Amino acid sequence: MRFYFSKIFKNPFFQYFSKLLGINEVALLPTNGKQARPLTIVVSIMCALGCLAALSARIGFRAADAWTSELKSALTILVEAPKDEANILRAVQITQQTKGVKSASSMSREKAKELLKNYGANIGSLLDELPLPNLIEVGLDTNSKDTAKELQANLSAQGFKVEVDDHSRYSGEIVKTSAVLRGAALLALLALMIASVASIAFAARAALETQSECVQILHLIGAEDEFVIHEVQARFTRLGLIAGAYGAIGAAILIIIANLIMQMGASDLTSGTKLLRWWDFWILLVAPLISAIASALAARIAARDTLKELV
Amino acid sequence: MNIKNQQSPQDKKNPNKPWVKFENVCLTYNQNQRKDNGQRTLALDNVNLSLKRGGVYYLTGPSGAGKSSLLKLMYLALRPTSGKVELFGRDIDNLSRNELPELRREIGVVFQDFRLLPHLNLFDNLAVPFRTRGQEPHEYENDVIDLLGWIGLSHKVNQLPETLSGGEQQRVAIARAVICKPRLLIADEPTGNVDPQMGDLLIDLIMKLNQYRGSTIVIATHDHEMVKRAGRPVLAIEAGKLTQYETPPTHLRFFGRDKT
Ligand SMILES: Nc1ncnc2c1ncn2[C@@H]1O[C@H](COP(=O)(O)OP(=O)(O)OP(=O)(O)O)[C@@H](O)[C@H]1O
Ligand SMILES: [Mg+2]
Repeated sequence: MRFYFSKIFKNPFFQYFSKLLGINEVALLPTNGKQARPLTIVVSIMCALGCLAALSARIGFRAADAWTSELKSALTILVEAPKDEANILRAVQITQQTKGVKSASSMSREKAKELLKNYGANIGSLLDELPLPNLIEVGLDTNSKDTAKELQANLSAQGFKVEVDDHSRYSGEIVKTSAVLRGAALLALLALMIASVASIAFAARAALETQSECVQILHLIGAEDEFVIHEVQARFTRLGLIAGAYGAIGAAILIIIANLIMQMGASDLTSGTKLLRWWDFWILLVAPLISAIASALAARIAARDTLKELV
Repeated sequence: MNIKNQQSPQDKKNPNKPWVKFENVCLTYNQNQRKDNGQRTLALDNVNLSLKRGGVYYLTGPSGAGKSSLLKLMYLALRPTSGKVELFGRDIDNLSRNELPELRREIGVVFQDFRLLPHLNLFDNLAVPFRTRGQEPHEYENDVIDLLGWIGLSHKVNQLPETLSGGEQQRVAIARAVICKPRLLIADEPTGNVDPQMGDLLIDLIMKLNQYRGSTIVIATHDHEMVKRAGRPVLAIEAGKLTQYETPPTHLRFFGRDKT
């Protein structure tokens, strides 16, 4: 067991990280718990909000994808003439034989009656008096292209007058809306990141001010600027990592709670597509890393500026 | 940068080249940060000095004369307002910021106010110079333990500086200054807080550095007797003006604690 541990500690990879985080040595600059705590809280909250923003962006992306692909995988043909039942059935057959079409069906009188049966026999008999619906619902292969044009051509060649509606009007709107949503989520994410970097830089500078005596001593003893910067950076990298982890855990708990509520009552808005998959949680794993990197950068900049003032 | 190697061609040519040289050095403090109405103090007034390699010098003068200011220029905590400072034969104005740390590592400093790191125990305080040089614990552990024994503080190795007496802190400050065997040792009042016996021991420790390493030593002190007893060259400073003597002058009337 002991042998095993000593092997881990001697591993260059481990040593690199412990050096990066400054966990293998006594800190040369004093660690001030009172100063670190509020900052940890701020960074945790920022990170939790960041995770939620990122996950919302993910939901937005997936919902938009689901809606657009749903719209794109179907189209409607309006048969204007001739629209007697036999011809409509012929049009359905032609449609079914066109490349890229998965399914095609018209609403027949029998099917309509079947659907309306539950509402009472009277309504069903009313249908006999109404004109026949002349719409064909077409399901498309997901990667079909130009099927709409082909259908138009095929049916026209067979003497039909048709109007093919590929929903492009709606899907265009949805794509536009979802692009705005994605943009907003990403902007929120960016704003949160900038705010957390700024607050860490502020805290690092304040910390250095209270420790300027220690920084000065190290400087006079012959520490290189990079050495002192590393000392400061290691501390804040650690803080960023820990606070980031707290934030990610907080976000995960919130999402789990939200998910439970959704399962109890509200259902997904689209046809059963799950908007969050378990693998989306990589966002929660990456968040502490981003937080650590941002903290490291902020601390580095603050430390460099402070050292510049010394001779 | 290895100063010994880098300087060796020059040293061979001129072995008496000064190790520390000040030419017409002036230092003015701005009391206020604002340059226009700030009250200005001329702490050093046209100072010239030249210290030999391996020499031991006593810097003396009344309180407020400018001793600490002179030493701060020497250990690169300040730059002169005007004039030229040369260390180890190199003009510090010609050095880039990246070269300064290596130069500083050749200089050991005993600060007048010790300046130990308050959150580190004695062992870690003495390890700081090694760590700033990127050394690993196994490389310096023994040196630290040995030196702690030498200054008689082995039993307090895990204590923080604030739990020590002034004299004990002073011993640690001296130990930290000599532990990496610098080529120039600058001590600002190194025996100000200890009894004469401990004072002698500490001066002895500093002199060992001079004997075995050939380091140049500069000791600032008020102690009239100590300067006389040492019989070493003296830098006497009063109101920012410096006079260099090769042997202790007989009339040191401006000494802080002059009893005569
Ligand atoms: N940081 C500073 N800002 C402004 N004036 C200063 C500063 N440091 C020193 N002085 C002034 O410069 C003069 C010389 O001070 P210095 O500390 O060099 O004296 P000293 O000889 O070391 O005295 P002591 O024996 O009391 O330590 C004094 O008049 C002091 O007030
Ligand atoms: Mg002084």
